Amino acid sequence: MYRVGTVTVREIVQSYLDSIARREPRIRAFLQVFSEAALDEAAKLDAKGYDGRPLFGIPVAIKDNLCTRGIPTTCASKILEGYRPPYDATVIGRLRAAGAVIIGKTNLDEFAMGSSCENSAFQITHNPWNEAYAPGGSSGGSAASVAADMALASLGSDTGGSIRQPASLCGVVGLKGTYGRVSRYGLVAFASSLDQIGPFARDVRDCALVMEAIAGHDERDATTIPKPSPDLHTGLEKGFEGLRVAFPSDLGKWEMDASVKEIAARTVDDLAGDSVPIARVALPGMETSIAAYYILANAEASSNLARYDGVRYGLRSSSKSLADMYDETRGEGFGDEVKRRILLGTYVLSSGYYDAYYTKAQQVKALICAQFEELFKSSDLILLPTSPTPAFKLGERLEDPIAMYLSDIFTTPANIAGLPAISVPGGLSPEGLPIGMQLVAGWGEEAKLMRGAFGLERMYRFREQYVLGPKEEKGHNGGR
Amino acid sequence: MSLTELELEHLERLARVKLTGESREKLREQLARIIEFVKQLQTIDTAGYETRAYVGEFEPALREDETKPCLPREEVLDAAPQKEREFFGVPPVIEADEL
Repeated sequence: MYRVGTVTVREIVQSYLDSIARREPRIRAFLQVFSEAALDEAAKLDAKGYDGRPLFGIPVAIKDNLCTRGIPTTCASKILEGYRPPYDATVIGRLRAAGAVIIGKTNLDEFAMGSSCENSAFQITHNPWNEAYAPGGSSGGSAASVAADMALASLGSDTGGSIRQPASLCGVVGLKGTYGRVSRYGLVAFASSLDQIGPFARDVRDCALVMEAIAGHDERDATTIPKPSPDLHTGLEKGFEGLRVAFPSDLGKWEMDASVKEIAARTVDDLAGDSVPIARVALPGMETSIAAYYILANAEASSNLARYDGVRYGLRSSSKSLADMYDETRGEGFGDEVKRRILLGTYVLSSGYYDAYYTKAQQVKALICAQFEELFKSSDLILLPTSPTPAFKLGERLEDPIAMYLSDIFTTPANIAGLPAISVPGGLSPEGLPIGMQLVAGWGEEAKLMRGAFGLERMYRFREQYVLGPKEEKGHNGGR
Repeated sequence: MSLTELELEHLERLARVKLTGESREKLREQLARIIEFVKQLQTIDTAGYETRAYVGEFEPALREDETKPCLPREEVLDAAPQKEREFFGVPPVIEADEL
């Protein structure tokens, strides 16, 4: 589009800003919109002209737990109010280097802790498909911004499903790479052994392009994989060709919405009809991963969040002594879910309980990893739903943390084992809410994952079949 | 299970978080339920499995121990709620009656 000079970057960016002006007052996906900066950047790109960079002129939204130099980074927490990081996250630099235009920062559950975006200290984000429903979380703002055509792609972070679950609930594609694929330098840490940054996009190809731009080794994150990251967009159209799929044989055991079951069953039938080999398997970690996740993630969180003490940045309560200042700053600055998790993490790490909880959870992690390794000897991809239900109503699960935690039951195993996984929109529930299906691949096998995802996308034809909202409200159809 | 007042106070002290008002009671009740929920792991047979922190083919590698540029001190201090010269400022660490 840019190549033939029919449209300028400024026009594209302006059209997304217009879309934000129309939709954002009701969706509330953004904590900040960079109208001026985005238009300035667009003008600069136009002056230079199209140069072939993969994300040239593409408006991208960023989850607000990614540090942006000189620009408030809140994690949707009062404790970071007013904080302006003195540096950019590695992924921000990589997006810019690829030519992307950063259009705004999106809402999340405070410190990425939650599955509905309702734990934000600042605002509630609404699902663009039905505003009475939650967009999912924790990267709910990033998912909603792409679903409502307020950004062409966005970045989120996924610790237990925080990219894939909102992608499923908002009808967009969401990808978490292999642990170590994307640098977390400048991502506000939640659970360092699980956190991964990844993209949301409207389709699998865009998702692949954004992932290619942000992936790769970074000396500032020692956990990044020290070898080149794979080409993800070439050969997508091969789909499931030559790939063996595993499908959980015991899915019926888990409480699930009928429409989710129906789409899962239909997917299996359609793949089998296309002669894709499908094996029924016992899925590793289904019984254990949520409990292991809540121990490991919150133990790490209680340590990672110790830095918010009112000394170096953010909120400080006025107290007479240093000890009171710590207690009061953290008591006032953190929301209830964050406190709940810090206290749980503190409990499982405390003297007398450490082995029974934390050590045990790490052994369970080893067990789950071993089971996955075994499974991937005879399969290339695992197919399963992303979330057991479509979007739930705002407020519905707030009082019941365990019910909320269980919405991550299909997503946490991939985090525990560090495996790449993606959610692709598969259809709508009878209420008109999107339902995503998930693929999980072996360690480092994103290329296979993306091919399978493309195969699913071609089969579901989600975007061709379902249009969000009344036609005249639709933003224009994107920049590529 | 339940979480006693003493246990909750101990956790608050370890985590340096002060809970107040009605949310304190609610958190106590929810925490107890969550602990009960995660306890189920203890029934899983993990004999023969070592604890595992890092997954995948690579262990995080240490870099060479050499000096590299870091963030400018002024910019880092600018984010602090209180600073004095090149230091972070904090309320008194030793109370007056301890002197």
